[in-house]
Amino acid sequence: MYDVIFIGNPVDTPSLETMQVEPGKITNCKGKVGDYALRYRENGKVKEVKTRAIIVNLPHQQEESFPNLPVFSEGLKTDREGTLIFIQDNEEIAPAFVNGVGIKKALQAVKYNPSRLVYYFYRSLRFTEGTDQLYEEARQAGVAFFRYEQGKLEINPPDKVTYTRGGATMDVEGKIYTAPLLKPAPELEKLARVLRIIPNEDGYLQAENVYLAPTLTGRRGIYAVGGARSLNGLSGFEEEIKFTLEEIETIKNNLQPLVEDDREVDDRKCILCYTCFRVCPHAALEENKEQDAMEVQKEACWGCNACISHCPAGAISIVDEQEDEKGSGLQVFMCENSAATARKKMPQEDLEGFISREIPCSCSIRKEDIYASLQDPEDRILILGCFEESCKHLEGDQRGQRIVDEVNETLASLELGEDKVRFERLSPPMEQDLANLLNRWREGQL
Amino acid sequence: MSEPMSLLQKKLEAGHFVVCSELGPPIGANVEFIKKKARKLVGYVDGVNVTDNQTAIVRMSSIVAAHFAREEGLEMIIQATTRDRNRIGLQSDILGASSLGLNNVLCLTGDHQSFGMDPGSKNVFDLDSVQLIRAIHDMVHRGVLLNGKEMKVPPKMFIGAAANPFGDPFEMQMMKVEKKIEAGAQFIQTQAIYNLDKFEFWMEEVRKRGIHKKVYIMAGILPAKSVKALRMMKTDVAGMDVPDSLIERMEKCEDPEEEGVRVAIEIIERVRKIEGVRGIHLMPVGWEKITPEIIERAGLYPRPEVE
Amino acid sequence: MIVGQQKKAEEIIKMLGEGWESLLIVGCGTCVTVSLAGGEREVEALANLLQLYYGKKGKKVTISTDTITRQCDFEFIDDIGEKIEDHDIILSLACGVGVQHIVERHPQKIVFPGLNTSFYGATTAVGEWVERCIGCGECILDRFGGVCPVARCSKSLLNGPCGGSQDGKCEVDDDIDCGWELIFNRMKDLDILDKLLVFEDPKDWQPYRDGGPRKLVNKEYYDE
Repeated sequence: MYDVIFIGNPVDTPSLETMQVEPGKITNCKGKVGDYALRYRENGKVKEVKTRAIIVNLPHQQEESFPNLPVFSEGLKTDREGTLIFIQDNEEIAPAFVNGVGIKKALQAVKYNPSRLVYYFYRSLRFTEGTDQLYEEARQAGVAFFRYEQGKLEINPPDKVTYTRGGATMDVEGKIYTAPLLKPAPELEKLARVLRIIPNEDGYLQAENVYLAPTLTGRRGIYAVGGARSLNGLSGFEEEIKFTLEEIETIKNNLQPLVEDDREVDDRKCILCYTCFRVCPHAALEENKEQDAMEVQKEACWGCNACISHCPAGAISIVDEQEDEKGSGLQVFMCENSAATARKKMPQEDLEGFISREIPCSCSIRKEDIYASLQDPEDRILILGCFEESCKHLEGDQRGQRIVDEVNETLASLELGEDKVRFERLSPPMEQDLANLLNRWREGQL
Repeated sequence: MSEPMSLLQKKLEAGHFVVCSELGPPIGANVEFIKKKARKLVGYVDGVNVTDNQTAIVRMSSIVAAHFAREEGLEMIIQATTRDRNRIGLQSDILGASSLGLNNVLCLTGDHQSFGMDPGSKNVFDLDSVQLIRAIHDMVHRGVLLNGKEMKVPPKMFIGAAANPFGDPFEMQMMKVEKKIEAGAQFIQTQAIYNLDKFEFWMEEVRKRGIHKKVYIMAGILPAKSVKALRMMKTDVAGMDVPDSLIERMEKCEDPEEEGVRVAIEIIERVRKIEGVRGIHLMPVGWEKITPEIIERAGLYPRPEVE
Repeated sequence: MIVGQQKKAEEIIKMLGEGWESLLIVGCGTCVTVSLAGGEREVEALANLLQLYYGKKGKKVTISTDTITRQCDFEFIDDIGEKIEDHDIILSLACGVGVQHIVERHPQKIVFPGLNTSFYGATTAVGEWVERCIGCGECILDRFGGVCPVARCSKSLLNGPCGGSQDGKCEVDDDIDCGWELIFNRMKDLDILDKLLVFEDPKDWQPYRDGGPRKLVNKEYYDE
């Protein structure tokens, strides 16, 4: 049993048992945090290793942003003469490490030969703790920084640029280096599938989510660092690694479930349709071949209940859960990540007149329960989800919204009322927003 | 070589550069509508296609409309799509058409019914266009039906197929053209051409494969009346390639109808010079009265006579 | 598996009509459970919704529910045979096969279909199913690189694409991949394009619906 398997580049970790596997060779990953079985192909054979955790560490794929011009990382000889031109033409805010690399090179060159002219043209720079010092140092050492608007820097390869700002124009001639375009490493797409991690919009393994610490992937025990993490990965790489290794130490020494209540699959009801397997944002479900049913791996479960609300056969439930009494009147279901937290900070009298319940995620509401809770003409339901892009269960809020939309469409088609069920998101400051929302809803003004 | 099946085939075999046009039957039973349109074309064209419920919209039957147009003195090309009739109906129609003196047929798959006004209808597609070509070929040249039954008096048909030089992937489309020829197609009418560079490239490939020696190729010409019509073709018509430069040209001109005619004539002049192009197929959708003018101005009038 | 889609509540209510007091909604625990159309969950949701509807209309009705493993086998239907007999009308949330199977077992009962039976499908993502086979009765996948022209070309063409596809998409809808381009690309990748040049005869549609309603017997059990 290894403590960590590095997929891609390893990092020195004296206290942990580690191993490295090439990303392209991985074929399968089963198990859960603390006990993963990773399969890979070697010399035509499939091998399996056990590990407590996995770190994916791959560099970004870099492409030329201008044809035939070298990128920042390409061999710069600092001991040469002649003008140097750095161009950072990133359309959006560039990842900080890109200018980190560029500015470092510019600084090296000017330090080695202070008489050398070094220009740094950019559309936007982004700094983290390390790189803003670098920027200051480079400026003081004589690197000339020029910000330009899109289209205001004319580049004539191989060695001429014309810079325009206001009415002034400046021609510069010298060896040109350009910032690379960054893309996820080509292996990441397949890797995400094999490791069962839902990649973000850009194809990286870290979810863009305020709740997730930088290197978490949504699957417990699998971490993405550097160029595998996000477009910004590599800024603060050392902190990433430090955080990740601390997490792994915890897994090694004291692995505790994240949630108190166990989720259980009823093997008589499970039809092995694999819906839960597919929907679990945290890849906590596996098939138990002996039971002929799926199984929730409790160390991997984050408790969002997505499996419960998705299971077509109604086979998954929380162990020993007290059946809630069927609600009536004004009922509020609150996502525990935002609304339920806000509720605790609110004056309790503002909550009077409601039946309110915490739910792990707004995606865990179910149509049948909504209809069951609307039987009295006075019944109304408010479902409160996270504010956008902050669901720690990867877009569970969006599903919550869609369930409510569908319910409302059906209710409207039968003339059973159009405003009986509402889905709302809170925005910060949440306790204020919640108080307002509840008041307005009580008055029927939502 | 067997004797020509139709006047159109005779003209092509005699080496003439032929001109075909198109007639859309009415939505209704108006015979005079057909006859009036037909009379205007007499003398200007060597063959006239009659569409078969084009874009899946119900119209008078292609064969019946072609029969009335033929009575006015035109050489007709019926169209047969496999969308609406199964192998029984299609073969029966071929026998009927031939007996009416309609001896040219263009075999098509047909636009999907979702394009028309009856998207809820059930399609047939019992045969595809290649199978239809083979079936007609066997009826005409072997005297047998698809089921193997021999006929004492087989139909006479000059068999045509469609081709889209702009479809992709290129190799796949080419493969289909070759299959159609292999099945028995004798002439080809192409999709409307606006992108001449692409068409020339296609013809080059056609010549490389020797296709132009096996079939008579007629280049599709669709005169556009307005920028709107062009734009619609670009976005709404399956398999069309309309270059932006042409749309721009139509936008800028003062008289779009005149410009549309000029564009058509320019395209005709260019395709005439391409080796392997043996005629044109004018498809003035909704603008049929312009046909004689284009033919005259393109220097294609009068049409040759053959015995 | 069979993919179904639940009918709209409006349509179901109209279909059920008047003149009954008790309704049994029967779910099916296999295919249509997976396609989220007729399993236990959908049965409960529909029952609660109908209860809400009839309650508001002031109509006194009893709505019961049950979901059996499969409606296409009598043994499972018989498990709830008494319950079926005890209700005025039955709403089956199975595919059309299940509905008719209940009808055959309970000839005196009026059984309504709660689903539209859509197609044989494969799951491509959570909540997404696609048609890959139409059950034509004579598989020809061997000649098309494992991609079915009958099911995946909108016109079921056997000798190549129509002229209407563009950028790999079908002329019928941009959401539909051109089946022929899929076939072509796959056979190109496998380097067996020459197979496509072979003339494909008109298909014999008798093994499909065109030979009349189909029946299959296993020779081990029946004399020919």
